[in-house]
Amino acid sequence: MKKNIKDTVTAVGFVAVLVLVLIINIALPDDDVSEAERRPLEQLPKLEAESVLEGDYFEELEDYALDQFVLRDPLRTVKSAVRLGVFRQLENNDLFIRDGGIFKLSSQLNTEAVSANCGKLMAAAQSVWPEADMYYTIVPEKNACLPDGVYPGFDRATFGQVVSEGFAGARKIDISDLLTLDDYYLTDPHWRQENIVDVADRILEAMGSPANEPGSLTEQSAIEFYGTYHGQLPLPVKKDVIRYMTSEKIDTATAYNYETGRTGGVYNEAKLSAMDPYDFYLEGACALLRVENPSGQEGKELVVFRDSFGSSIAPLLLSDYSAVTLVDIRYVMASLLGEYLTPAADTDVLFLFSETILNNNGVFR
Amino acid sequence: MLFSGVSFLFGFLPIVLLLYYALPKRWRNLLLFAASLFFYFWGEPLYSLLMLGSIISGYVHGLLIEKYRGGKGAKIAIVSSLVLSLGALGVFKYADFFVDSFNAVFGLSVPLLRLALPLGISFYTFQILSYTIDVYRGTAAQRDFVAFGAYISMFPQLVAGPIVRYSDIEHQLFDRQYSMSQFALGVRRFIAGLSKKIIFANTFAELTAAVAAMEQPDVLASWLGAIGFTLQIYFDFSGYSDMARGLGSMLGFEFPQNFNYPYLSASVSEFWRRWHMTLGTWFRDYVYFPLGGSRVDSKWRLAFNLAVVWALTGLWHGASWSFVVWGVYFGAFIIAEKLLLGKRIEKITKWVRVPLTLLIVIVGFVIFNAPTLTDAGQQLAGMFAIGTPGASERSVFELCDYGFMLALGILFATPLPTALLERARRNAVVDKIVDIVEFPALIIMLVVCTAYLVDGSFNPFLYFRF
Repeated sequence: MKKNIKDTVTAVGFVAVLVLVLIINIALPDDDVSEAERRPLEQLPKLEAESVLEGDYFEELEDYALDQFVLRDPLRTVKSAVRLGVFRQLENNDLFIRDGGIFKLSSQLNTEAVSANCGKLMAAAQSVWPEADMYYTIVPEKNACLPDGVYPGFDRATFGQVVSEGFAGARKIDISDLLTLDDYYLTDPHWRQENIVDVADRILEAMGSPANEPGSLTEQSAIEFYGTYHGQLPLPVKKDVIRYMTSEKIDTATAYNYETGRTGGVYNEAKLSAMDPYDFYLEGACALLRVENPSGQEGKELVVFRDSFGSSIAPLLLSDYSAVTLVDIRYVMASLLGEYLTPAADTDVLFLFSETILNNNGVFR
Repeated sequence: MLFSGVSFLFGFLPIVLLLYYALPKRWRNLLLFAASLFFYFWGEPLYSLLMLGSIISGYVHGLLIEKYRGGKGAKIAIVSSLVLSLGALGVFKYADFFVDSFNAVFGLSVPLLRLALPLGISFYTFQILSYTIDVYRGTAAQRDFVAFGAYISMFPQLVAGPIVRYSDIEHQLFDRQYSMSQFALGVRRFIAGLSKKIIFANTFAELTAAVAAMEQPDVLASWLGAIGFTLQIYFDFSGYSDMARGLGSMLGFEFPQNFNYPYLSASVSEFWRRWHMTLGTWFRDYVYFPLGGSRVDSKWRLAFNLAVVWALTGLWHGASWSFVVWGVYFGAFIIAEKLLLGKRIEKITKWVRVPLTLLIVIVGFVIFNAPTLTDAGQQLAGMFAIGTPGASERSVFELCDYGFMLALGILFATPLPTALLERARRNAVVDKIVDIVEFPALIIMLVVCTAYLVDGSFNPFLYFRF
């Protein structure tokens, strides 16, 4: 009798759970985006004969079912917790937690990619600014600040060598000794603007431009947020805070976005409530952006070939440049730069990239 | 559609189960057939016609063989069935393999067909073949097309087995016994299989992929890759078999066991009696015995019979020389065991035989998994420290990352956890506690599996908006 009850509970309970989840998934309205994952979610695919016969429809339907699954975010937290806590793995989706922060496993060095990327950048810069003084600085991933331990490191020595060869003709500006773990967000790969004024000053001085005047910058707080890494390793960690620096120079500067044709301030408050609050700094991912500095020296300009790390440091690099142009050749073909940009009389060119971007194939157009 | 997908788990399965038990028994085979065709259509829309054609062919040939039993007509029908079934398998699975080999040998450039491999074709073809051969040997043909179609296409075992013989299932097609205890057994088997596949197999697949991505794997990495894949393939395949048997139980069927803790085998022969058992018995009954089996006059003939079976076994797994070599590799050991060692093998202690057999199996799986024989050679060289360093920061990290899972995987590849639980349940209190926690534990496993599935769909933009 007891076994019968147990078997009945198991049988009926199992089917009931499946049916309940089915009903809930159908009844709940679909979400357009996942705030946690910073991406749009798959929507119900259109039923078309061609896509059905080719099998695409069913693949898309499975992707849709996964993306719209009820309690998706809590389930992802369950998976992270089980993988790390129960099965004692050291990472989930190549991310791990250390000292309250979330980090990504270092990639293995890809010397071919590094060399090719540096070559493309140099060629792009020389095509428009052949006479400019050129500099490069590499932003180490925040893992570099972790003490040696269990997690495999990145071969920085060889990377540095390959970069140096790739950027032959450009002067290196080493900023690695200035960066500690506190200079990076806990839950995001980026650095904190409020902690990199010294980095900006070293870059400026290396380029022969005046550093930020002591006391000229004021720190402001914006919002608390969870960074990109938290979207992939959704475990309880402390939130980060977007802080930003203001000064008379920064407050009067304007940023022109070549893609949208709009001009705005250096900081975009609307982005604080968008998917990625880090886009608050100079609108985030953007092909070409020109920041005008009214108090700068006429004819003296800075061009920064950059990835997203450039967004937060650029306001601190205004110095005495009349304009700082930010170029991201992940979003614009290098061959088109000459159509949009004209070299100034006195131009400095700075390559500012993270290790991760330079180490990956096919990032630049 | 895969069992380990949310569309199946929380869409197809509950709908089919509800309809199945809502319908009168006489309609259940029709539902099963229709649902199975839909299941196959989901994964292979165009090739579902091929499968339907194969089912029709098997059904018609069965009737023809029975009609002309004892005469020339039956012989023509069985040959026709073999030609059509093996022909379809040959064209879709092996044509390019043979053309490619032909081109390599004769220096020609005959174009390849480049046909996609229909899902499950090896499984349902072998089921159809076993049916028509059994009818030829005297089994009554199945006159009910729906029942026959349900048998061949049955979604629980269509994609990855077990290979269900018609004789195993014939009486169950019309006389299935249903009970809560059988359904509950099916639920337990299904969730156990799902956990094996999603939690263990998929995790070990990550390890295998991580090692494969290393430019120059060291000794430690090579062994991690080899052991990782050995565990991955076991949990993947046996997990699917458990899910298939579990689904079968829920639908009133009893499917044959397909795995029996194969990594505890004390000889290669024993390994193949514990691994993919239904395939082994299929080749035994339809290839080995017709060739004469072991009841032949000469040892050379016995060796030949075994070599043919194992070459075909390798080829069944995949259309490449790596698989043929893999099959022949095992065949060589089996021939040696039967012809050279004989009963003397049992005098060697199991403490030696089991690890040695496992080593042979692991090396075999390196050959099985490598894209080419050259890659297999490189990995084996890495494992046995031929020109490779011992370990690196990356391989030590992978060991630390996956070490506990590897230990759990090794443990659950043995009957020890089940044996310990059974022993503990002899205590009345423990037995009662297990009874109470069993259902919640099953649901927790289902939730964890679902969590793994949902998180696995997350493919972040590589540079995280850098």
